[in-house]
Parts: sequence; structure tokens; C-alpha cells
Amino acid sequence: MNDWQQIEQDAAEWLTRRDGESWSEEDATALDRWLDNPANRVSFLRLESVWQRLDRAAALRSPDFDATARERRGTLKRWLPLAMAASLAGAIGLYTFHDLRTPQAPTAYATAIGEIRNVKLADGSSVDLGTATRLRADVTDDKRVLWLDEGEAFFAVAHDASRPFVIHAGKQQVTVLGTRFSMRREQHELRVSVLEGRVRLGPDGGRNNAVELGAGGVAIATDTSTLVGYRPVSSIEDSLGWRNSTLVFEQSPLEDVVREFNRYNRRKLVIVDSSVKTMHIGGRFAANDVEQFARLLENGFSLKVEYRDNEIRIGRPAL
Amino acid sequence: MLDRWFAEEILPLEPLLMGFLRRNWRRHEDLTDLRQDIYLKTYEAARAARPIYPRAFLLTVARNHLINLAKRAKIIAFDEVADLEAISIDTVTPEQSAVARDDLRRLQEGLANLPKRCREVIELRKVQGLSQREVADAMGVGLDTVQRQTTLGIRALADFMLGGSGKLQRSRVTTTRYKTGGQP
Repeated sequence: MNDWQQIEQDAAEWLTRRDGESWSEEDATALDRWLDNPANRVSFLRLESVWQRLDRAAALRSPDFDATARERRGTLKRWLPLAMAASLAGAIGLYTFHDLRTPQAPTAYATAIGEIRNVKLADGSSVDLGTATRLRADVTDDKRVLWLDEGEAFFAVAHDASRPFVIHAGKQQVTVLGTRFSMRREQHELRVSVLEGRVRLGPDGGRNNAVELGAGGVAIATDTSTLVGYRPVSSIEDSLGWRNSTLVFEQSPLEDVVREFNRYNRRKLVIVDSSVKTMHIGGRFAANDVEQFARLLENGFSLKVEYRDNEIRIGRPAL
Repeated sequence: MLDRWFAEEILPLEPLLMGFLRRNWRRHEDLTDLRQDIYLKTYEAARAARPIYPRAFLLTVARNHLINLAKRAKIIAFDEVADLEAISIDTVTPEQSAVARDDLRRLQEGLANLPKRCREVIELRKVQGLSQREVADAMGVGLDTVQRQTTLGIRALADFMLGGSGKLQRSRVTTTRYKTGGQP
């Protein structure tokens, strides 16, 4: 006879540990072994299905759920600036069934929407993670390998010629000796902007067809093509404003500005009148204060702005 | 893949299964163990071939399991096993999928049912998206407390979300220490 209570407790503990930061490859192997027993497996699957459903519910949370969460957050005021909800992964993945197999990398880092975080790696390099970002790092004495699974990151890489710093992003990889640069991954597009030093960008796994970028270099790579251009270093610095929660625009179309804000906020900006999409906006804004930006559009540009619970709708100019 | 089939086709039928068990098995303290026995048999049986009608399949497994148990355990008074042989799978009324439809409300209720500290941990982790470490810092408690509460919360929420009472299960069970980093 199976002791189902005990098995369920064990399954819940496995899930808890896998949910934590110190989850390692050895843990994953041990979990696989534990799951070889079907009695363990059905218990685990049952708890996992609910635990994952929780992600989805959080991603779809309604305003009244927001309100109850806010009420309870009284003692946790210092987290309010981050006022972020469950990870974007949850929202996009809807109900992706997590593979029970081993994840590749030992250390995983993630940020929620609107969150930024600095991570120091074992080799002395520093990484700033942007909003809704997932990064894995395998940094040991003989290698420095990272995976940018989603989102955006700024790297200040410690110089070490003996250990190339390699970042995999989908089908692309970036190799660095020592430099400061950023990467941003969106759907099938990878954008690399170099502030200082040199990086090499090419298809994952090979040296062929690689391009080298120096300071001011910006490359936009898709699976099949790479576009390279140079911009003033100051403009690259502007695009890195997110590192201190600032978005900087220099005469960018409102459409792009809105897209940028929406990467940092749950309350989405929606343009309901296409005639304002191409309107040009410049300035510095707090990435997490989408309401302030909306008021600016309303008062400064006389646009019709409608505030709803989950979104802010931007319409045509009020005449 | 089998795991996926099990999670998507069988697990959502849990309210239905529990209703069936409640009606046909008198000793209600056995129900969760019975449920897991039946899941295990269902999972194993589906290895060879995936049944076309998951609902009928699950209930057939359940019915056969109850009959076998009743036959084997002579101690069980006869009336404990209602008219098992007479149960027709088709007459069982479906109570399913209120779960899937009303996920969010169900989740809110489930969270509200948890003890305060447990609820806070789960909400910060899942709704606010903090890491376990950050949850610990935000609440001013140790990481091991966060993990213990998470484990409790997972079990209670699973029970509740799949149609049970959502009561915490603390007793009878030995918990391992997280701090040592040992295997659970």
C-alpha cells in the first residue's frame, strides 16, 4: 500500500524546491529518479497542474483581485514600487506544460514585469536584468556560458581572455572578451547594442557568418539575417535608461513609446486612434509610472485619454 | 505524452471522481487515498493505449477498484459498499469543469481559505512574482519558513482547486528539513 499522504508531502516539497533559486542540475536528476515511480509521478502531476494554473490565474488577474492583493500588502509597502505581477512567462505560456526533464543551466535568474535587478556573477562580471527577463548562467573556473531566454540585459563583462564570455540567445550567440553592452530578445529578434569594447555576434555554435561590433554598434539579428548599424554612443546610453527605471526617447513615434511602456507595466497603454501612432515623443520618463505619462499626453498633447482598470486608452486629439 | 494527457484529461475530472467516491464509499476518511490509488491505476493503464473516453475510463477504473477492495477486505461491512455492482457509469451526473471555467474566483477563494502567513507567502511568490528569497526578505522570515509555507499551500490549494475542502494537511506526515539541502 502506498502512503499517499507522505507521497503528497514529498511531491509538494519537490515542487517547492524546484520553485526556489538554488535548484541545480543534480536536483533535477534526483527529481527525475523520484518521478520514475508512477505513484510519485501521479501525485506530483496533480500538484504541479494546480501550481501552474496559479501562474495563469495571476497573469489574468482581474481588478478586484488586484484590490484585495493591495489591501493585504499593507505591511509590504516597500515592494509597491515594483508593483509587478506574475512573470510574463506565465502570461505568454498560458498553460505550457513544464517539461519534467532537467533544465540545462545551474543558476537561473528572472525578473517580473517592471522589475529590474542587478546580478553579480562569480567571475566579477555584472548583469542588469530588465523587465520580464529570464537568464541562466553557468560560470565556472573554465567557462562562462549564459543563456538569455527572454527579455533584456546589460552586461559589464570582466576581462578574461582565457574564458570567453558566451551568451546564447535562441539561434544566435554573442562572444565577448571584456566590454559593456546590452542584449534584448523579443520573439524572433535579438538586438545587441555595444557601449564599450567589442563583441562578436553569430549563429549559435559556430564562428561562421559572425559580425563584430564596436562601441556604438547596434545589430538586429533574426534567425536568418543580421542588420548592423552604428549610432552615437550617447544614443546607446539613452536606450539603457531602463537600468535606473528610466525610459528615454528622442522623437520616437508614439507607437514605439507605447510598446516600450507596456514592457514595464501591467496596466497597458492602448492606442485606439491610428492617427496618433506616428506622433513623435521625446523626453525622459519613469518606466513604472505609466499613469504620469498618460496624464502628460492628456494635458500636454490634448489627447483623449480614457483610464480603465487594466488599460489606458489613448484616442484622437480632443479638439 | 502520457503526463500531459493525465494532467489535461484526467485531473480536471477530480470533482467528478470525488463525487463518485463519496456516493459509493461510506468511509470518507479513505477518500483521498482511494483517489490516488485510482489515479495510479489509471495512469498505468493508459501507458499501453490512451482511452478515447477519459471520463468513462476513469470511472470504470474507480468502480473496479472499489469492487476489488470490497471483495478483498472481508472486514468491511457489506453496507459500506453501496450497490457497487449495480453502478452504471453512465448515470453518474457530471459535476466537472466548474473548475476550469471559474479559475480565478476559485483561486481567490482558495487563497482566502489559507492561514494568513501561508496565503501571504503564496501571493507574494505567485501573484507578485517575487522569488522565494525575496518573499523571505519582504516578510522578515527565514527561507525555510517560506518553503514550509509554500509546501503547505501547494497541497491545500491543489485540494481546493480540484474540488476538495482545501484544509491544511499537517498531521501524520514527516517533513524533511530544507536547510540541510537533503532530498525530501
